Amino acid sequence: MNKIAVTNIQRLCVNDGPGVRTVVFLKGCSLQCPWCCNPETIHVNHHPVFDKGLCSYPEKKHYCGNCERFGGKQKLTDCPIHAFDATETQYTVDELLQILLKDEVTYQSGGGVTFSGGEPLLQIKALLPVLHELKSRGVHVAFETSLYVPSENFDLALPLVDYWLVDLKFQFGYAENSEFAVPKDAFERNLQNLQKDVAADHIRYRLVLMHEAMKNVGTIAEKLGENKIGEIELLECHSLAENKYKQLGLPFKKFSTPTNEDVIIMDKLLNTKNIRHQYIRL
Amino acid sequence: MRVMFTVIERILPRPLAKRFRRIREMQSRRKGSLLYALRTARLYPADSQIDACEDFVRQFELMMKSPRLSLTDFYIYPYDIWKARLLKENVYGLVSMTVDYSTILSSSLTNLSEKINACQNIQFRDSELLTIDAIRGLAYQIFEGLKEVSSERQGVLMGYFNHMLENDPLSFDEALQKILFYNALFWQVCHWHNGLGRLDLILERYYDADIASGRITRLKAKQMLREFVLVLGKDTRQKSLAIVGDTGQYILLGGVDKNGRTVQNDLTEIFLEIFTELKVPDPKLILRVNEHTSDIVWKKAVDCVVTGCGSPLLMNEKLIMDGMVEFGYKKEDVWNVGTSACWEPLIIGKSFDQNNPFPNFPVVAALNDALFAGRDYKDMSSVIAATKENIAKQIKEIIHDITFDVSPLYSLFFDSCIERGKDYSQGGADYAYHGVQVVGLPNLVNGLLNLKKYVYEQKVLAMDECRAALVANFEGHEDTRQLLLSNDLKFGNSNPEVVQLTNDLMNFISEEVEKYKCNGEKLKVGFSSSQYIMARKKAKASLDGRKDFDPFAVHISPVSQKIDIQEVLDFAGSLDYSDNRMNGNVVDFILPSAYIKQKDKLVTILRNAMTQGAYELQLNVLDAATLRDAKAHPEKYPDLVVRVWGFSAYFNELPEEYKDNLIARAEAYE
Repeated sequence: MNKIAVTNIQRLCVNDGPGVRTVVFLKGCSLQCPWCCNPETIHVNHHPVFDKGLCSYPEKKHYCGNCERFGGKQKLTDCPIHAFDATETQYTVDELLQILLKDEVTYQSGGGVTFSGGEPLLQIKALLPVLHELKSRGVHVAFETSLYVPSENFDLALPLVDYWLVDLKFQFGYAENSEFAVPKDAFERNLQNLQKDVAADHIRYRLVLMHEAMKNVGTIAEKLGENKIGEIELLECHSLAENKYKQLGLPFKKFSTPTNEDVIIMDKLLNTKNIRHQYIRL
Repeated sequence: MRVMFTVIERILPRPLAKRFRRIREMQSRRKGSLLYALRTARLYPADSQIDACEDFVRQFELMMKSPRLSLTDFYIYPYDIWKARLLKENVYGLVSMTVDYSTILSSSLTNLSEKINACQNIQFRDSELLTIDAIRGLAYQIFEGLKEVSSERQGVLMGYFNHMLENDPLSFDEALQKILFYNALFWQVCHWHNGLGRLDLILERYYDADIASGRITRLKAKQMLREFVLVLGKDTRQKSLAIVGDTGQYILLGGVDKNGRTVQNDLTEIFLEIFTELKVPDPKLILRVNEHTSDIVWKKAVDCVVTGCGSPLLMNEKLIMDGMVEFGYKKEDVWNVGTSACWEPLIIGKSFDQNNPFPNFPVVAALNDALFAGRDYKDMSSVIAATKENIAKQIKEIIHDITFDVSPLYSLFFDSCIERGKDYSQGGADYAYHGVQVVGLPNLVNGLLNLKKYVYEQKVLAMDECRAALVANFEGHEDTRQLLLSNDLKFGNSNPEVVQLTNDLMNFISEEVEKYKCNGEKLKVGFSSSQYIMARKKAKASLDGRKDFDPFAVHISPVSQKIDIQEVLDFAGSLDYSDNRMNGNVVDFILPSAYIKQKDKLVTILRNAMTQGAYELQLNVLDAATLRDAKAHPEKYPDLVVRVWGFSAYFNELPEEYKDNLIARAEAYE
């Protein structure tokens, strides 16, 4: 069985589906949206560690020991002062389940597990045993996805997921990650199947809104209409991830939060299209 | 100015110097100049030549003469902030008591006098009867004074003062007045941290009767209770001990009654609503929760918590009650568990338990002493053994018999003083289990975990380097400090190694404390302490990376950004609170803003925390940016309330080191 590549597991999350949830952030994404607040999840072949800026190289400290930076065998991520943090942990099915099942009390109170990332559907095959076990235990499962994945991935997940959080990318078009091959019409096809097979109250659509996207506001509203999105959560973009980009050595593109005028314009436009909406500041 | 005062104190004869200093202390927490204070303050020094109870009565009688009363207030609260009863040298004042106000409400001074007259102990009998006379005397003066005030309200109050001391109150309003009257007296005689107890239970029958008869509405009751709360809180500064806000005035809501019924009524909700609206730091609320605590009470409790006022502290009543029975409290008594000022469990109306009369000892010093004992330690177990030896010495040093103040006043109302013919603190009360508190356990655990990992397992740190770094307060040893701060295994992490070490130390401390008694009674121990800043002066740098005289960790709370709330709750739920380990064990954390915006989900989180074994929870709402701004510009934030060790305070009134500590904690949580 394949291991599951995870960047983080966060407990007691309140914005990732019904109730209080444990969220598993999966490594690897078919997109690389410039506003992504989990950049460590995007790539599978590059940027394997967070550099916390604590490393003293080329000076060797007494705790540096056998570090690979000094020609030894000790990995960067085994640094005693955690100068580097891994962006990925590989779990077997049993290991991941052991962690997730610690929170069964939380799940029983109307919560559950959410698979996010990154794009969790890319690892659906490896996740299937986990999902089957959670289902057999009555644990509510949600997926946070862009739906920009091969259709077979979506099809495999469909019977095992109770709730879908769909992150729409209508702001500027898709910024693809070439590490993954995804057919061009994948999103539309997956969305149609989702809307056909899943009740509307088990789907929540989200879209990150930034001031820079307002020049495309007409297109955004049109696409929402075309794709039969009756209700949308507009999430105010933020810059909380800037430090992560720095630590990963990635360029950070700062987006501006929508102005009050932006919010009013969007509100009016969506009202004309009868699209229910909520603007959320996290 | 301070220098001048110090000189004055040195020049004056000792008794006068003491008096001057006391008046200066009073003046620092009251409005008015020093001259005003010198003219207005009335001190009632102790007379060491006479018996303690006799002396109390003498002082009490004097204090009750010529009271300075404010008779136009809605409720009469005869607490004169400029009067202070002084104790003899080396007598420890009474703190953190909760009389059962249901006993007070149904009390009659005549009936009490009859019972007292039957006491064999003549000295006790005389003290109690004279105390009753003094109470009657004060009530009479109030009654006479009210005659001069012509208003409808004052007419009503006259009726109460003519009736309530001899009878059960006839109305909700009269009940509130009777509580406030006696509460003022407890403060007046300089007993401290006087808790109010279970007011939703105690006032229930008066409220229900008045509602049924149409005398009051829910809204009217709420208005009266609001007034009641404001009266209690109007003298916060004068009632505070260490820090302004630390008054111990708690109102306890919820929990089971004598018959096992969970108390959750209109009054429970009204109190929660009042505190949500007022957002005052004092008095404060504590909520006992169990599996039957209703959704509406949980919801209102969360509404209150998210205001940031620090109320209510949540008590896991079943866990606590079971622990109390295991320790030695009677099963038929624990339904009435309350707390000392902050969180230490006791029995309302029956406990003389002093939660914290001994110096809090910083356990981290035990490890430091071991390191500098001139010994080598070949392995971790020898380090732990040496540390434990030192902990044992610390415990032996701090525990001793104590001469406590007396209280013929409390003796009137606490079980079973009159039956025994003994004063409250001299064998009269049913329980006298005093408490020891340990400060800095998280720091000790982290230091030991560091030694294990870096010195003995990975061998990247030498013991000599540890010693040198501590002696230098990490100056020139920043790398070592960095290493010590970086260990993933820390107090609060639910890793079995951390839990096992913590429980091992807690168990050891528990067993050591068990060897000793105070005044012939066994002791409780708690691992939450109010001294996390104050005790730091006793402890130099430590191997958790703490520098000389830095504050200790706060209760059971995350000491690292890597330990999230659920992790800490899992950890807290894994700790063993059995035997005598029941002197308060508080998980303290700062609520993320996401939770504040999703209150229904926060209810779920807190409910589950209790299900999973948290003992007590106190919650803060802190935003680092706001706190930094408030420190720099206090005038912009006159009403900013924060939760300190077990109470709430106005941020602006905190000493700077407490402000800095809260800012650091808020930043760590970001």
